[in-house]
Amino acid sequence: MLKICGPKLSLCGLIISAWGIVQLELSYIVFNEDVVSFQVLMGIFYFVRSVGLAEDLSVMEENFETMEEFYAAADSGYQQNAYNCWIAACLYIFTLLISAQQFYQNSRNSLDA
Amino acid sequence: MGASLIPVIIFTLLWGVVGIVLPFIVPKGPNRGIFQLVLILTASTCWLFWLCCYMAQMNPLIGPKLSNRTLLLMSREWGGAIPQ
Amino acid sequence: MQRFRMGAMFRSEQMTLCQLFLQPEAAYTSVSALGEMGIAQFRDMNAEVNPFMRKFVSEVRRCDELERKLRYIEEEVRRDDVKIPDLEEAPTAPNPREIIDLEAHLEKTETEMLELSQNGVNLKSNFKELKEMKYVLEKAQHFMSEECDLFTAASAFVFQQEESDSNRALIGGEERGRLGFVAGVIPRDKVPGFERMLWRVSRGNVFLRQAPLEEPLEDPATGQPINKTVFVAFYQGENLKSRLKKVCTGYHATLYTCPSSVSEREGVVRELRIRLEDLNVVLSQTMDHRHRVVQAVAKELQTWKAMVRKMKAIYHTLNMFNMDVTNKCLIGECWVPKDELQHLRRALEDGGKAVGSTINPIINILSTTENPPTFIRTNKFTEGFQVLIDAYAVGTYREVNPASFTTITFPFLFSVMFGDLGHGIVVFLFAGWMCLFEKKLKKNKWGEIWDIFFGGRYIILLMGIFSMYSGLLYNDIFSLSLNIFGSGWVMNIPKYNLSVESKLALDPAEGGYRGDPYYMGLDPVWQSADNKIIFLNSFKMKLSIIIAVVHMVFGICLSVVNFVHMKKYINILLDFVPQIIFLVLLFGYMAFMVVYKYIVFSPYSQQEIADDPSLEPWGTRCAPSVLITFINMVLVSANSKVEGCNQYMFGGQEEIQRAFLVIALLMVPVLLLGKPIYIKMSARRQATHQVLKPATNGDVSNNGIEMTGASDPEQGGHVQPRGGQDHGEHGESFSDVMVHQAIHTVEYVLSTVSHTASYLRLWALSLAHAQLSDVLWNMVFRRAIKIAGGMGTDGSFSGGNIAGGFVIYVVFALWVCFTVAVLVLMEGLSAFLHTLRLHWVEFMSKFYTGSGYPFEPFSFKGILKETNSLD
Repeated sequence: MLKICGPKLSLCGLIISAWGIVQLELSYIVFNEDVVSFQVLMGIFYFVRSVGLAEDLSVMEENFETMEEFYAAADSGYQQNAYNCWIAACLYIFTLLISAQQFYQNSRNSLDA
Repeated sequence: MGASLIPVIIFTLLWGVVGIVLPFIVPKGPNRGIFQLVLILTASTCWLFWLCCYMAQMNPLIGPKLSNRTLLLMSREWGGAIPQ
Repeated sequence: MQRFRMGAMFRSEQMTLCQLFLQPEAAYTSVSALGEMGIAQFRDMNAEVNPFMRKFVSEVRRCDELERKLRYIEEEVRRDDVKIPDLEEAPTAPNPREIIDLEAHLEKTETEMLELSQNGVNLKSNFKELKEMKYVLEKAQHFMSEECDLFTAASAFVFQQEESDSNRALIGGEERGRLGFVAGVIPRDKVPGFERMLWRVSRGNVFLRQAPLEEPLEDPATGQPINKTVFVAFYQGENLKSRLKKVCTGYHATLYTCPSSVSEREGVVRELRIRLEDLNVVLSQTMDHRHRVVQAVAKELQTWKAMVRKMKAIYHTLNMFNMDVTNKCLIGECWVPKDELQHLRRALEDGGKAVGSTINPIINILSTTENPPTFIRTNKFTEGFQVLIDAYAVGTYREVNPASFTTITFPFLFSVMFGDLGHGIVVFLFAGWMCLFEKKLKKNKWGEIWDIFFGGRYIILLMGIFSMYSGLLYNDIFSLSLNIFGSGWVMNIPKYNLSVESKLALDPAEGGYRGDPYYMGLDPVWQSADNKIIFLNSFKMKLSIIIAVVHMVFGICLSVVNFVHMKKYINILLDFVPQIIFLVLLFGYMAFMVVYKYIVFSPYSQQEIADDPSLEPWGTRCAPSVLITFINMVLVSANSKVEGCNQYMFGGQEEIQRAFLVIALLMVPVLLLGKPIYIKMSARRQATHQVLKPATNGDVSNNGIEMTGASDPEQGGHVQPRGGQDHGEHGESFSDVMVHQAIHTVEYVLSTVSHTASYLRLWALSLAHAQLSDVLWNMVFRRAIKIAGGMGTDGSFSGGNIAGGFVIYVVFALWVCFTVAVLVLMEGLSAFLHTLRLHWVEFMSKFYTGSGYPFEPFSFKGILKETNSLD
């Protein structure tokens, strides 16, 4: 197999991607409207429910006529963030696989040597 | 007094068990003493810290200043009266 | 027994000074047995004797000689790149018969190695010479043929120039043989100098041809590759030849005889080839043999090294023993933990049995006024904490050991400064990994920094766990908040307002607060609040004061344990009582006011006050500042009066404060004069009673095992008092005591203030940590989320989300790196150092003398470890 990075870099990638998957998946759950039932199940996530991350929304600075409009925009913003985090988490799963393979390769090489 | 009995009892009991009951049931052995000390100190420090946090919020003299937008979202998520 | 063991960490072990009488033949084996156990610290009985005059000098020399041999062998082994396996288990020290075997064996091995390497060098240089010669011949062949062409061309030229007969005769093709030549090899870097020198010597009449060797040759002695060049120098006349040869020797060129005829040359080359092949076979066989020998030696090498090292250590220890007058036995003195006495006895008996001695060794327990060494038993968990304490000072014998309390107070104070659930998890996972795989990781040598982290893995583990807990209480996870129990605030929005800038402060008095605090830690609502810092400042500052008072009172109370143990009961009255009263009446009272204010002052609404006017003084408006009240108390000035409020928090506060202040200040003269006066009085009483006290045993508690006779005068002479504080107090003059006590008092009074203030670092650092992680989140990650959020199309999943996800993917990695480098490592280090300071200075100064010296038993394990780390 192709060897792209050394043992340190692959370990680094391994850690960052594991961390990223956990945290970004959690962010996805926190942001996503569709998994509310799951959130209720998990208890904490229901309460975390986005308020702490409210300032992450880009709609916070826009103007709205009615409150319904604002809530709709906020929900849509949450949903967008959820998608983004989900994509990033998927990218990290990919990174994790590559790093794991590289790490395995490196450790085997060092054993051979 | 803005304290409610349940959390105070629960947390005091929790740390009480750790700091007072558990030290008695530590298995005998050369490290028993240090185990007991660790348990007692853990319980007392953690309980003290928790108590300070709790007391500091029993009678809040100032309230949080929030942006209206955040407040609207909080109000929807955590419950509160939303003006119609 | 259990209770006794339990105190193992709490204070240092009881030590006894033993005198050992060993038979000379059993001494070696006995000391060896003790070294395996590592329970005795020997005292040098011959401190005044010149190291070269001691009894076992010749044995130590023998060990040195063996070590030299071992070093030589190891060097040879390393030269062959053979891996020397690490020792699984160290062998026991060799007994005298084994020593002789070992010596003989090492001698043999050394000679063998020497011969082998000598042979190898000889063979190799032979091989090298042959090879060089082969090259020279081959190259010469080439040159000659070239030369032939050249000379014919040159002859034509010269012939036209000057028609000299002699010239013609010389240059003609057939006459070429008259030109003499030398051939050889020379190191490549010397070629330019050589060439120039030849030119000068011969005035250009030597014709030099050269060709570099394609492959480097091996230096037979060192094995280093050397590049050489073959040269052939043509000359004319004997005169030039001798000069040429001199230059060649000057430049370390090796000359080889080279037959001038082609067929002869070819014959020699053929012969050389055959010889080279033969030699090659011989060489590879020799190398194989050498390799086998080296491999066999490498397996044993560490065992031998350990054996010799142990042997040397034993003789060094024996050199500390005294020979008795009759030359019948060796006398030594050692410190042994009291509960290891039977092990000591057993070790000596075993040592005696090993040489078939029937006489039991004699152990004599001495009583002494000297301070015994401080020995604290640690396990892998407490070890790290003990190191932290010992880095400050080694505890005085039998005084309270702060390390036992540090196991929790250290991680706790650290976590107050480092409180963040997320960072706590990172620290916890790292330390957890080190603790889980400690057996495997112990063998890794990843440098000094790793050793520090690994040595403190249990400290780091606890720091991580406590940081997680305090992160929950601060409600910080990477600067975000969790809402687990439901906020205590009611998000009522009185006015419908959607403008971006509008802010709203929830008023706890007017229905903004549920009246039921968040169950555990700070309310999540504060995370998004604009006035978060105002609230946090007040909370964390008060928290620091409360922790400061509790921690320092705890430290002062520990001094009582010391006084009771050392039987200095009077110090409880004259030291402890004034100290604790001073602290409690001033700063303890301040902490009380903090709590009191938390409880009695409440946000009452206008309506409630209107209904019940008696509530007004307890409302938000009337809540006094604790700090101002405290300052007023110290300055003896009245609190300012506010319309509609009480001047004080409770009835009679002013009088109570006055009384507290006066009593606290009265404690200063008590602290200052109490002990000196007591000492003076007791000295006078002693003088009038004319009680002649024998030398007290001081710190060494008399115990049942004490043997008869105790110390005879001769031995008594060796016991030099090392600390002897007890004596000092009686011996010092009154003015000394007075000065000492004055310094102590001034220090205590000042430090009470400064130490309390010093605990405010808890507030400062935790605030800085929270702010820094907040800034990192806002400046790095939040921006990414916002940018990514703007990329997608409203409501549904689109290609923009993939781009957005990619932005988050990149920025998240950046954020992780910063979090680990700045928030976890840097901030963690700084919080660690501040915690260390709080323990060393603020906590330990209350009870810890730290004037002891460590127990360093004679132990093979320690000796081998030390030398290994030196290697």
